[in-house]
Amino acid sequence: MTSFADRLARPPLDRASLILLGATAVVLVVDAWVLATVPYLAPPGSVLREALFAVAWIAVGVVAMWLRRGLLARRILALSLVLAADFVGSFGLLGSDPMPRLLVTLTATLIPLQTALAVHLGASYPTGRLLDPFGRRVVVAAYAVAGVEAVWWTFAHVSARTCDACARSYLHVVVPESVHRAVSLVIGAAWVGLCACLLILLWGRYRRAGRRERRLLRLPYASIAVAAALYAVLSVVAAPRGTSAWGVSMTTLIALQVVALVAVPLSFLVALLRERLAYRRIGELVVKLAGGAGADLERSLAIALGDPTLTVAFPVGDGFADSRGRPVPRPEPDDRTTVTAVGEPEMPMALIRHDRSLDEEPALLTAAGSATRLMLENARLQAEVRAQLREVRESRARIVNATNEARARLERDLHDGAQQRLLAIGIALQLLRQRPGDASLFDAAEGELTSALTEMRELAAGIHPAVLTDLGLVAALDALAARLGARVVLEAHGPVRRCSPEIEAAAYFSASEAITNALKHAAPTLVRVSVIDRDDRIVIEVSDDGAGGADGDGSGLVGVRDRLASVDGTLTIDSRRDHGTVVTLEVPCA
Amino acid sequence: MVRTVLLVDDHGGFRAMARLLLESGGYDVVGEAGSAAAAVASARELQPDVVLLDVLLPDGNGADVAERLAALPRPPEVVLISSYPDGGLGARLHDAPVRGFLQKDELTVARLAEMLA
Repeated sequence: MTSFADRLARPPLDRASLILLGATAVVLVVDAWVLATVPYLAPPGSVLREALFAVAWIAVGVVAMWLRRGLLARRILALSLVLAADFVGSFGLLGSDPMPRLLVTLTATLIPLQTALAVHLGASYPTGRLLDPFGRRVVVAAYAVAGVEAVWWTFAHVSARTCDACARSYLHVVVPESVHRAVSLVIGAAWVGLCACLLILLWGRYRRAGRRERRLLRLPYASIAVAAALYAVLSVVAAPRGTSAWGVSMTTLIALQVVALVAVPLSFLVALLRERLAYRRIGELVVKLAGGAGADLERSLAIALGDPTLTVAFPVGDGFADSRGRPVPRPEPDDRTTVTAVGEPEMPMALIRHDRSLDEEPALLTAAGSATRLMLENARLQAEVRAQLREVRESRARIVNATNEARARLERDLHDGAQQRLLAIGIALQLLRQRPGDASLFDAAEGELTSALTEMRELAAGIHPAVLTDLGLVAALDALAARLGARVVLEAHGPVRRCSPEIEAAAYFSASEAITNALKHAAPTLVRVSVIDRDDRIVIEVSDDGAGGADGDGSGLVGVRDRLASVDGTLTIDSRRDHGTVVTLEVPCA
Repeated sequence: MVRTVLLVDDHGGFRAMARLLLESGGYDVVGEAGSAAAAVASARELQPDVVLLDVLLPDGNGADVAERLAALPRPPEVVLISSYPDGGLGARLHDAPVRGFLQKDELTVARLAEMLA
């Protein structure tokens, strides 16, 4: 996860790119000087064309550098440098002066390298980084093949065989034609394989890309693919002639050059400019938000950033909520998306989950984030309020339900217990009228009456124990502990103040529920209940030595949470498996 | 002729007293049941003349049990009893195949005899 804060500063121009650009300029000056002083065979048209190609790549490299796409700029400018360094040597420079011979030697060595650099650029577009192992392997293989080819060409460049008057490479050795063809065939086959790998690589990346990324990749990838396919075909044609794809006949060479050297940089340029144009939509977003059309911020952001899958989540309480306050899982990045935090990284105002391709345009995200910061803060507050409202509504519904359930239970208890016993006593009295001396009837009636009284007393204590009203929380909990048996022990640390009746009731029934819960689920040997009057709060701790692993969302404790929340109290549960459970209840008591 | 009775109620204390009451009125209480399932099984086995049937049973209601009893080869006369005025059954009470309905606190030998007459 990255943050807007990291993206606010506009980074300086990439230093490596600047160095490459400077070197290219120096080489171009040397080129111009050689062309002006040394005679050569190539027609002026091809010279102009070659120069244009080099300039096209340099221009794209400069634009990429200017847009702070340092790594991409580096790859492009490296290719530009090699192009500038090797094109003059292939013009058929005449004579045997050291400078032309040096350039011819350099050209023989560098031409294979330009293919490897092109593969590297294509495989790492648009970031300039190679993150996947397959891509890395393709690029390493390309440099390896280029290295072999460079060594071979350094000693056996084709220019040495086409023109007698031409300047020779310093390292040229005479190689039999058959060996020449065999080696060229092997190297050509390797390039065909590498082109196929590059096509597979790009196709796989395109398929995995999100919608926004696909739109950005379509044109550059298509031009890279066409260039790679063309290079593969020309390698097949060139191999039997003992030359490389770059050295096939002039007409086919033109086709390759037009595609590889013009269409590709042009498509890169278009993609970069399109990226630039995306800022206009941020401007439109600002205008729209200023006009008060910020109701659906998420949609506005999605449109402005050109990513229909963009979602915004706001941290609310322990979790996250969408703009309507509905709880959503924490946004996590996957292979198509990343998550950007707005605001402080530790306490983000919002988390934006967006297409991975936006990562490459930090400035765009920063602009969008700055434009919508106030709106985002507003939306977060709204989401928070809505989430709270939702929680209160749900809690209220649960409380009403719990009340209804409690009433139904009470009715059932009365019906099944005391009422049946009283009916039995009624029948006994009826019979006693007929048989006044029947002692067994008296015994039966008396037994039922005692049971009925006990049950009524317990029921009444369950509804609202009189001792709670009369003597307070500690006395009521004491009576409860006595009723529940020896496994429940009450410890009161110091005197505990009296609180308002509703707070005492909430505390008593929550504690009672926690104790009953522990006895029912944890199978403890002891449940310890402690009551502490601390500052302006009463803290009740119910700890057991049972199984542990209690779940705070279990229905029993949700009810407790709701009841406590109704008086601004809190519930915390510390329960690890095999370490017992400590339930802490806190209520305010002014 | 002494009439045989099956007593169905899930409250043991009430059953014990009701048994004494019925016996004092000359009925022969041949069996007791505490659930709907036990009621149907006992009625099939004991073939009583009368079943005194509580409406609220832990595993079903009296109207359903009455229908199952009416389907027996030798259906008994059924009198429903409940602590509620209509046993909480509403209209179903009138459609049930029973001789009558008695609120539990009105249960006397005389009323029962009247209903079975």
